[in-house]
Amino acid sequence: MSDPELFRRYADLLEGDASELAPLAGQLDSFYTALEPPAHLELAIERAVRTRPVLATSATGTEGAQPRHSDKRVHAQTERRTFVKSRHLQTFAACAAAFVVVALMAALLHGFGVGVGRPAGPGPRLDNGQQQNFDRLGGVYAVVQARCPADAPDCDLAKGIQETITVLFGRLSATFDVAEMVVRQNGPDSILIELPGVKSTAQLAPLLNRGALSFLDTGATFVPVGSLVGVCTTSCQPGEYKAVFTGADLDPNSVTAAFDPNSGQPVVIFTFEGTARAHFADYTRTHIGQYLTIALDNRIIESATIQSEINGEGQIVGLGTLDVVRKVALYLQRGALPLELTVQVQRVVAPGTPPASGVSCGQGTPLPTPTRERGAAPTATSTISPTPSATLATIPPTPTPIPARGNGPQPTPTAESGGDGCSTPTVWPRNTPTPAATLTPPPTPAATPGR
Amino acid sequence: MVLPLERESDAVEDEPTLIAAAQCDSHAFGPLYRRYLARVYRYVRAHVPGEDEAADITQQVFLQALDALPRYSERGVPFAAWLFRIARHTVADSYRRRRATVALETLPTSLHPVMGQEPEADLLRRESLARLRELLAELDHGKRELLALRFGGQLSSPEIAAVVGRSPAAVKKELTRILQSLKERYDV
Repeated sequence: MSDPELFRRYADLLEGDASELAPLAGQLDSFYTALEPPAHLELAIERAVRTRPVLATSATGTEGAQPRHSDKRVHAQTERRTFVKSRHLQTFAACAAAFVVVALMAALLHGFGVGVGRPAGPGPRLDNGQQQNFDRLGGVYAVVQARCPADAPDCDLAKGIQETITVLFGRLSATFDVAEMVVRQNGPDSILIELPGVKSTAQLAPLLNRGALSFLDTGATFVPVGSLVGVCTTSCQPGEYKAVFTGADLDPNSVTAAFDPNSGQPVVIFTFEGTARAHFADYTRTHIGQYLTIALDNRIIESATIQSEINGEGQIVGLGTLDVVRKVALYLQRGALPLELTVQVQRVVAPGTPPASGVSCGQGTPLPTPTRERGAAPTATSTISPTPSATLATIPPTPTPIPARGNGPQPTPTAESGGDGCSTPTVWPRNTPTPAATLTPPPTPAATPGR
Repeated sequence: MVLPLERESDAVEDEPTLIAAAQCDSHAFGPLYRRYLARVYRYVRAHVPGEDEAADITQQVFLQALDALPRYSERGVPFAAWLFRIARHTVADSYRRRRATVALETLPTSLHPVMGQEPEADLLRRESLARLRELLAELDHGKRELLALRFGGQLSSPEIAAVVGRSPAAVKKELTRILQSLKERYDV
């Protein structure tokens, strides 16, 4: 490389007296530039990109159901989904007549609402490729029922179910590396999920949790970790706590599962987004001495005294296993589900099973459908429960990030108890001896990059 | 001869357009990953011992980026920094998977041959690079990480700062300090 080019490329390092470093910079440039990617790599990536899973959409939902709120995650994924839908429009049109005939025959033969094989919902049938793919590979088949959460009085089920499908698809895509995944509306309050090639339902359940993170104003009240509470956003009833911030106030790009470099424990790091960052700083400044309590799906994971203003960065530590930390990070990255989901049917369908001998939603044995009252413990669909030692601390300089789970074996999610809440939660900046429970601003980052 | 810049000259200005297109259509991801392929691969290759593994991890990086792309918005984090955050996470994950059997931080041993007209000059260059490799291997992970991001990933100091969570000034100062330290031990 010529000197002018070298100085241009590394101007920040070679300016002024540092020009004597130019030969070394040139050697380093040569060292790294020699690491050329193999010729086949570009083609391999292109091929892999073309086989990513496609989101199946419901004809009853996408056009008319705009996202209920301005969550950019939902907007972006809705746009992508809409494109995918249009891309398959011709295929749908070509197959529509055949589907109509098949659907009518199935209805006549088996009665309304009691289909054989996969249930015939009001949404469109899967396209041939998706259906054949699932039939050939088998996989996890599930039907979940959606309902409005008790703490969302203005919830619109019809709109909420579309948002739920979008968020759920994002979570599933980040967890399962499968092609032709299907997540579609299967009825007014029902969602059908097909994960071709997946051999176990164990990974599905935690992804159906709402994943709603709430920062609660509990005033001078310490709430034991692990306890379940009522959460409200506007009009609060006695016994409920107001959520002053939620997971939607966090910057999804900032949310990362990471390893704390000091303790080696997996943590979730986050930053408040936009104006919420300033609001959080204002809030902590004006509520010094009071408790800030954090809940995930109404279960307390932290309750600690605000000691001074916090600038909007933080980390949640002590959540437990790496798997739990990954799931919490996934909730915060993809957003909370606007609706509560309850598993009605979930099965592992054997490869090569034709639809007629697969599963029957109407005839199958549904899993127990938990009745979850406000503040009640999640049951069938809940496996993420923080340990009593969960704490919120300010962000350390360089936690080692943990990537989202992609390929490879999927470990069974860990079901953990919520704890008895008897431990003393603590919140402290990095490198500070364990004091009484407090919230403090972040320390000046130390220069310790990397792992 | 002044070679064309690898990235700065080839239309950084239309990157937002490429990103927006890829956010709506995964098939439009091609121009974006082709732009960053070599840089990401070099960064990854600097961390893993084998070409095949580096290629596999690089592919994972771009597929994860494709999945996460609908959620990407700049908000002060340049796309390059966002992409290399994913790369950093993916490399870290690969470490954990093979920790039991493979030593960490293995620098690549087989560089492509230096093509020159004179065998002696080639030999000297090879020896020089081999010496550099030894010195790099003696650095701690954090320092090598910064060098891999700067020289392998061709990220600027502000972009590296966004990846590693430090201030641009601190990154620049650290890089300069690393180079000065290397220079004292590496006579070029």
